[in-house]
Amino acid sequence: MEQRQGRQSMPTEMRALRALRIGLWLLVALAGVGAAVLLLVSSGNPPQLQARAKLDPSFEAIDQNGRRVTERTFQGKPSAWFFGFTHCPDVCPTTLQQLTTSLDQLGEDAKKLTVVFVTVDPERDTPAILKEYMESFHPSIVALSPSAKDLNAIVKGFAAYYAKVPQTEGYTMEHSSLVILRAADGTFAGTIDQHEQAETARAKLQRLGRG
Amino acid sequence: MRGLFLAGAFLLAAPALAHDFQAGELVIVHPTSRATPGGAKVGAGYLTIRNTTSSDDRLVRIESAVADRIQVHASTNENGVARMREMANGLPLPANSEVTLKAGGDHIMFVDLKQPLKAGDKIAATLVFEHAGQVEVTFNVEPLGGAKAGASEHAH
Ligand SMILES: [Cu+2]
Repeated sequence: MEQRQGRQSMPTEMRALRALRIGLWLLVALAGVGAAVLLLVSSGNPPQLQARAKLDPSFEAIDQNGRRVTERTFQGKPSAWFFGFTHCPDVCPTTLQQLTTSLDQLGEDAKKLTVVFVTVDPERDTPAILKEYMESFHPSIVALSPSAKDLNAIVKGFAAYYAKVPQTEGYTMEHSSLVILRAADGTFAGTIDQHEQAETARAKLQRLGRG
Repeated sequence: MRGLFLAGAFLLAAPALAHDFQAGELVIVHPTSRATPGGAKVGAGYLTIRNTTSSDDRLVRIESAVADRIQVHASTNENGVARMREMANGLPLPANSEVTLKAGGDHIMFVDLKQPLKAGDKIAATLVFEHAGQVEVTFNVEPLGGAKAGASEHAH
């Protein structure tokens, strides 16, 4: 490029060609940026939440008892949100079991928060399926089966993540594995990682409930 | 590969309490599963396979009447995302090494269970290896909360 800077008198056709070439390179660069953005998105790491970020998507869904709920159902009270699906052999039952144990141990404090399980596979996880599934866990946990559109709204609102992954037969889901904590005012209040000690998780839930 | 009845003879000789099995030179340690939540169509299996020989082997197939399909899944839970994918070529068992499938990591997946798995159940299954032949094993089903203690203890 430097060599060309000195050339003052360039035939018009050449200038046009150069403009075209620059334009094309710009397009290539743009495509590169686009691909990088796509890669970031599809690499599937959920966006990082800022402290006190507002987690307040508008949505509606059906819970495991067939009741219609909306974002309003959960407003004004601390809540803990977990995204999963019932065709999940390991991470989901483990997390729900850990939440169950924590809620059992919190006793009265358990009533100060709502634990919400959102299926990322509403195609298979109907409210009836969720009802049977949730009978194995703490009775206060609310399980939601939203429409695909509402699911996307919830996932986006909580900066969570899910994707459908085809298998040789059927499909499986990859999903956020963190429990996302939301304060009573609707702001982000931390996460619980499955790898954390049970006492740590319980303490976080207790603190969340007490506000 | 499938006609090796030698493995069955080892099973009869294996003490029940140890809950270990042997296929040729391979030792299969303590296969377990976990009770499934209500209505769940999938279950998990865990075990350790010790290959003390100087040649690689591979767990190519698992058969059991308990589920339509049984797969080995590579599973990760990193950066707050849980992912799993089928190990389509089976589970590699490198020479002189021990491979462990455990809660929170790679696992055996029972897909489309014919019946729920309850604590105390024993799942009969056949493990088929590339070189070591095949062996009948039982997966002991532990309580839903039981395997969890192990999962939360592992340090990361
Ligand atoms: Cu799996």
